[in-house]
Amino acid sequence: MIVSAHGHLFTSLFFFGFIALSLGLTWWSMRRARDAAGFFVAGRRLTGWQNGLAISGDYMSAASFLGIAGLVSLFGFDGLLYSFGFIVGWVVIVLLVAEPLRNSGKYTLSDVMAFRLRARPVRAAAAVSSVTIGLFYLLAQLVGAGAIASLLLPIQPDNAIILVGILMVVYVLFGGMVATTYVQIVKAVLVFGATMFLTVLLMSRFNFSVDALLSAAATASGKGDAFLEPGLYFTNKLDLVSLGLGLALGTAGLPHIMMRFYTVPVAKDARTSANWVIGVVGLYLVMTTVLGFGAAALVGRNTIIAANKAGNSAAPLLALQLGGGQGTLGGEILVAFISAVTFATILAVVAGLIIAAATNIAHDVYTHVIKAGASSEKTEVKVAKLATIAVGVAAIALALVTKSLNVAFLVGLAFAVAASANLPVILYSLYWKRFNTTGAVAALIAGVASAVGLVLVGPAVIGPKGLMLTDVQPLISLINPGIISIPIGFLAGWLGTVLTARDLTSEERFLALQVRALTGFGSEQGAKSH
Amino acid sequence: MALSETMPGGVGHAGASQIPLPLADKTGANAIVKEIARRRVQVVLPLFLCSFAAYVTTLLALSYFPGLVGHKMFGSINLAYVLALAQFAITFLTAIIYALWARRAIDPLVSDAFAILGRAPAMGSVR
Repeated sequence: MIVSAHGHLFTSLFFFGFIALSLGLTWWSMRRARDAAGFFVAGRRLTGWQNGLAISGDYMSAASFLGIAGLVSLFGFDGLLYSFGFIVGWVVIVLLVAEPLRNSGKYTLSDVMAFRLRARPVRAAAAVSSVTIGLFYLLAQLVGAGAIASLLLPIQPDNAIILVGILMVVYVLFGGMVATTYVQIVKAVLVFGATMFLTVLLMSRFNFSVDALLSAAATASGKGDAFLEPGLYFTNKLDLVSLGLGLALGTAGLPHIMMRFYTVPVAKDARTSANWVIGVVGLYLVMTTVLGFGAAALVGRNTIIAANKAGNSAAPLLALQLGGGQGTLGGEILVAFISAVTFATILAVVAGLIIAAATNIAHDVYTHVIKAGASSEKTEVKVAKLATIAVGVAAIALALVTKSLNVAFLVGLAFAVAASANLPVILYSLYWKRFNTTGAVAALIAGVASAVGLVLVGPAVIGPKGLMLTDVQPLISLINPGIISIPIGFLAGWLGTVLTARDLTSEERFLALQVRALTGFGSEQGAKSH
Repeated sequence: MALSETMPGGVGHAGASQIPLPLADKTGANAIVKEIARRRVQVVLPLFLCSFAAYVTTLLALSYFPGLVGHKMFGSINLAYVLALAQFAITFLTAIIYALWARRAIDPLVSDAFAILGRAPAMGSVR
């Protein structure tokens, strides 16, 4: 733990303040989240910038706030890959996916696929991939919550996981997408503000010279110029490229991010949302790397590692230092605020993940696969609420079991599955006339199987640095499967299509999809304002 | 048959498969859609390929040309750092170019398509 007992008092005050505010927002959202569109997509009434901020909130996770700063503080330049890999993913979204998706779908990514392909097999396969992505991501966040809680708050990891789990279920259960969105927006503003404040405070110590900051970081790291060059973290060159591809191509296949585009009234607002994300998240990601270099320069490697081996404490320790140091009121208030904000961010991100998974289960699996489309909206919401509880309980249980394992690779894996399974099918559905159901199912299955399979036989799971079989050599040396699994996903989709008969219905419906995707004609409409 | 009669609802609970097809050519909407698609291929595709190529080149340079990217450009700021920041700049620029272009070249066509169909884009649909 980083701070003293009365530091914890400040943290608790900030933290409970945020919980109270978020529960207030949930209560206020209840009325608007009652019907299906309200529950799943906030009635499609958000403005472009509101949705943009909410998506930005999804990116300002503990993994980016603590993780990127920590990685940069310990390994220098290599930590930057995560930051610019995340932002490049938005090129794919803004140019190719956001607007057509908003126009064509209803609640989930699979809607776009099912518009022209046979709904049941495609939705079933897509649900497997989307729920897999959601669970990996959820697990990484919850285990992270436990670790971070014990670092920053006077609370046991187990209790932290259960507390976060229960709160997220409450937000989603009662407030649906409306509450999830507003909690996310409030948090995004808090995290962005905190990051900005720390960055300005930090840069003022270096007369706002990036050059001076970087030299100080390089000198303090003991590695000299090598600290500012690639190679300290990614010792396998191909792994850097592989992770980079996964991050950039996976974003457009993340169910919890993409379903947010349904929360705005028209496609133009989807474009506006994406532009807001690029602006806000771009600035934020640059600042987190600056904070990482700042922590390397001012806090120092030894102190950071002493608090947490993975470097997760770099940002809070830097806050302590910038506020005046250990034992000062300024230092303790600042670190308390940062700790509480970090916890708030986990809560909001986890709520966004769980509503996405619940929507996949209710809308895709229950309504369209089990009931073949014959289910009322009321039932769909009811099933989604049950799914929220079920996914919540499952995620909490899994997180409690795996909490001592290093599951940081799960976020990278979630991106790889999204890039290898969801992305090929979305792009083919939107832009390739000949595409058919067999191709879609082949891409989804091959994408999920190759991404997960490669990680299972790779160094993150087996071998000396893995979770099990530590005396066996991993079958492949790549931690990140993207460079192999993404081409496999695209290839499977192509082969599955060209090796099977042409599906004339799919090709005809492609024309209808094109009209709808490009003009928004016939698209789902937002709820009327009150 | 008017286009509006051929495409009610959307992918609602009745199932997407119940939307009648194909679109009537005579409405002229198809020509507009083709034009939108053509313009997107002309502008969006090159924009995407350029920015993605820049990204992949950067990844490869960072992995396989450590000597090159370690070259210092301004004080302790090396090429690697400049390339990393350039990814943000390229993404910002791509988004700005696309938004400005779409507002001028795509949005009016979308309004035209809706005008033909006798609706305004932002208004609630008949359900």
